[in-house]
Amino acid sequence: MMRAATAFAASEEEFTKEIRPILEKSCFECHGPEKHKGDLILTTYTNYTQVTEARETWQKVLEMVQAFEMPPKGKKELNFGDHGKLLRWLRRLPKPERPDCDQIASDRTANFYKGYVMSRRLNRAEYHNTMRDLLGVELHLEHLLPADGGGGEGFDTSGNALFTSSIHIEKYLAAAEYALDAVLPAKPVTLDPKFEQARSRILVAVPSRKLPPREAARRIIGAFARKAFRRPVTQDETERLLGFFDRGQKRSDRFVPSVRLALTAVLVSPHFLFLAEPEPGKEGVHKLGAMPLASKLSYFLWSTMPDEELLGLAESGKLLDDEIYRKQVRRLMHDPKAQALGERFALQWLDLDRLGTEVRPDAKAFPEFDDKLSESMRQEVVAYFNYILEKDRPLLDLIDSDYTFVNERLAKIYGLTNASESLQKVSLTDRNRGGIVSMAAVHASTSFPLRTSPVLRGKWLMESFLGDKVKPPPPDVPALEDSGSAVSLSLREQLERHRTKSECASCHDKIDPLGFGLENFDVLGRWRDTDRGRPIDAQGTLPSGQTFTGPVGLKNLLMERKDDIMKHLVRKMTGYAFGRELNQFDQCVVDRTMETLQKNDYRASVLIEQIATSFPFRHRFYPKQD
Amino acid sequence: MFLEKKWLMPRRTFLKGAGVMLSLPLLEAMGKVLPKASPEALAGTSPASAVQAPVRMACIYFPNGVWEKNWFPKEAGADYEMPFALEPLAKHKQDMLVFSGLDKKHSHGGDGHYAKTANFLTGLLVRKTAGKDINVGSASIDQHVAQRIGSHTPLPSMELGIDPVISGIDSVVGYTRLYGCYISWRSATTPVAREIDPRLAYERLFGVIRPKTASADRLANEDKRALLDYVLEDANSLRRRLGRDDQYKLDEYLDSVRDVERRLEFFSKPDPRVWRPNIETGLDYAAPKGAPGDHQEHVRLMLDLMVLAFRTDSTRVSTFMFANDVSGKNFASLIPGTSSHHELSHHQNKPEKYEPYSKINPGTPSNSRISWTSSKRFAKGTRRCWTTP
Repeated sequence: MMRAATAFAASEEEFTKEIRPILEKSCFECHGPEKHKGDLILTTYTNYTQVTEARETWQKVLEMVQAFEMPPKGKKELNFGDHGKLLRWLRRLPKPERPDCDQIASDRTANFYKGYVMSRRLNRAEYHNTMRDLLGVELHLEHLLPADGGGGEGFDTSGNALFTSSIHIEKYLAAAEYALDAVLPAKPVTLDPKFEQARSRILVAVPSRKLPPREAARRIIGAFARKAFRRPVTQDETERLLGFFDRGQKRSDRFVPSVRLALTAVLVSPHFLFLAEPEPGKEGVHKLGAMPLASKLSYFLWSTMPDEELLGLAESGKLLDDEIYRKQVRRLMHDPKAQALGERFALQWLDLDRLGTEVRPDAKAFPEFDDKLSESMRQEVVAYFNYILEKDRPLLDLIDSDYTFVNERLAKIYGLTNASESLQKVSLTDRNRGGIVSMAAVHASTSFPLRTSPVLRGKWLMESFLGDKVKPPPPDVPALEDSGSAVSLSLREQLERHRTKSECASCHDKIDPLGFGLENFDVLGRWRDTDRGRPIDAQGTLPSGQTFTGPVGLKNLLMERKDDIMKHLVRKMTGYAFGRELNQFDQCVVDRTMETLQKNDYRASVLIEQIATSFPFRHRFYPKQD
Repeated sequence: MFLEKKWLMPRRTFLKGAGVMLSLPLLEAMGKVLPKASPEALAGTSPASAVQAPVRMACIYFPNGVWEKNWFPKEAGADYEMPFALEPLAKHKQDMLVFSGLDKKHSHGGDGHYAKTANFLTGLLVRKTAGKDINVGSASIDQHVAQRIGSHTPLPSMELGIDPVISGIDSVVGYTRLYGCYISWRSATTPVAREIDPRLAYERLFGVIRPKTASADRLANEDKRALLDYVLEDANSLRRRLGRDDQYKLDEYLDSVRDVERRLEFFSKPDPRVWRPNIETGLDYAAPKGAPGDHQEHVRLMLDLMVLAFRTDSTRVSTFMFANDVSGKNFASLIPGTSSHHELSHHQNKPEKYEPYSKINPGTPSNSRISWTSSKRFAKGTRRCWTTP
């Protein structure tokens, strides 16, 4: 009681002696009873209690001061010291209670607002998919482009991390030329039926006696640009593109090559290459327009451009209707194109996209491992993830289930029979299999080239699956191989010796036991009972004293922590969808999605729907502009 | 003494044969005495009989200032004792000038770092803004030089860095963080995009368009130029409609397009370069992979690329930023006792802070690299400018 009273008295004194004089000097002239600019009167707050009773008002004051919007330039500007003092005081005030889920970070709401790039270029995979859907043929153009790095929450959908360099421009030019050459060859030749189809899809008009060439070209170019730009194209834009057609015609190129030049221009335009979210011209938090929303949704769920239905709904503005939008979210997630989520999201989330390139078992020790097997391993994860989405299965299947997807190559690894050449769903009887952690892609990705690594596997389980943070090892710690331990020791003995050092133990006591749960799987994910003549000891004891044995034990343990795993998945997919790092305001989306998942049996559709309909997904903050 | 073993570890460098190539008596062949920086020499258009390696300009920036007491020599004139922070450069003492008194008067006002970094190469007033109306007074000196002599090389200039650009507002001081990310400015209001990925920087140097292949391209060069003009217009109009945080992404795109245009332009005319490097452009080097996770390695690669750009006469003007300003990079694993660079830089004259802080400049691999760079990689004639921001 006493302490509270003293604290209150201190706050009171601070307000009257320190803060109010600053307000008086810099704010009262405009925000007093006479001018009351912005309907804000600050003069009436004469004591601290009154301040705490008007939390919303003072929150607004905080936002304005924080963003250096108030006091306005040239008017009673605050000096550095006063600004800091006032800001620190405003930040300490009790916060208004508001539903956080309807907020996003901005200059005003976030201290140290970093800003996010929301208009970003297509990443390599999206470029490939978009070209495929635009032209209607598969051309594997992604190999022509440089690889993209990850950013934000670790995905290549993060605007901040998608750079454009001159090499991109050169490659976009080359790729556009290559692709259009395939479907619209300059000289009339007989095309493969697929390409013929693509060609006629693009050439929506032909010059005739009634239709002059320029008009035919206008229709073709207009239709193509609308799809490519994912929005209606203005007359002016079409006219500018027709300039390229004219250019060709002038030097007496034929009709198709002339059109083609204009289409090349479309394919290197930033309107095609960037997912732009233009400004509404007014600062603040705004609902995304229908066109950018359509693109955002389709690039989230399909990694490609909107189809005709979605584009049409956006053009008519109907997409902004809540019910219609929800229907589209459901339609898109059940469309085969949503398989992109397995390939694009799941592999990046689980850090399995490096398998076969950066991570590779030793070729001599594991001659079975080739590109085909590596691809099969990854495709098992992709197919499994997509099956859960497609059938709206509980996401807990990711932790454990009695089915998986195998082809011949994988069946051999898993000791299964009757597999077909392509990936097929099979039922599992062995409880050791089933769930992501029992998949070969995980085992191979978390091994050294020559041996398994309980440390890498434990770290993967913690970081990629459970969402725990693992501290990097302190500097100058020798790797296990170099630490001079006797070769005669088993891996477990070596690791145990390593854990006797206290600086190692604090982390490795958590990491290693989890990894030992997977020791029965060799580098390629094959079951083994012995390693170099020694029996496998797949028991793990956690710092809590809890013990478990083998994959079954590990999966039971993971099931006990299912909400950690689910929460991590939610965070990751939210980061993937938003294309940026998550911030404090996104936490609400994560929490709400978790609650809804728990109430709905962890159905996969809930995850997608919650993210796609969330406030931050559908809104943007636009900073001040000229 | 600062060269701990770590820094001398063999690098997975793409410049494999560099040591060998650089031992070639290139410099000797080109003459030891540098010509005065006459316009001809700057432009590389001195008569071929008297060809000297062209004069180059490299501006290298590091963030968070220096501990002045061990940065500036105590004595004026040629005979001075190498200050602690410059010791890695001791070998080059005779080729080097250390300037003091270059304090920028426009940096005295303005809170925090931004008013000092954005005008690193303009020296003019940095307008205080949260991003609405960025202004650093004028184009930066490197860009002025590039505008003068840039037409003599495939790239007028090359801007390199390590950290990605960050935007948003620093709410402590009320400046946009963009100011801390750029030292090269095309104009008072437009920064020049910089390359941070070694692979992409390499490609920018030795991209698809080369003298030999330019004519073999399927697309006629005039068509390409028309296409690039078109997308420049598109990008400019799109840029105007984007928000502050997105605009610089479009700037990257715009700069890239301009770059390709320039290259087309350059290779469509007779090569104006008189001085010939004795190595084939780019082809002798394996391209580096993307950004390595390791900071030291990353810095070395980027500086290698700068040297490579000069040695192949691909450009004569280059800037490099070790980090964005206010960088909180932690060098503890290299210099025991240090922590966040930025935090230490606000040392308040407390020894526990300025002692580790003062070790960062000479002691980080990045800066020991300056010495390494200048001793081995830079051809003479390169004018380096680095001062304390």
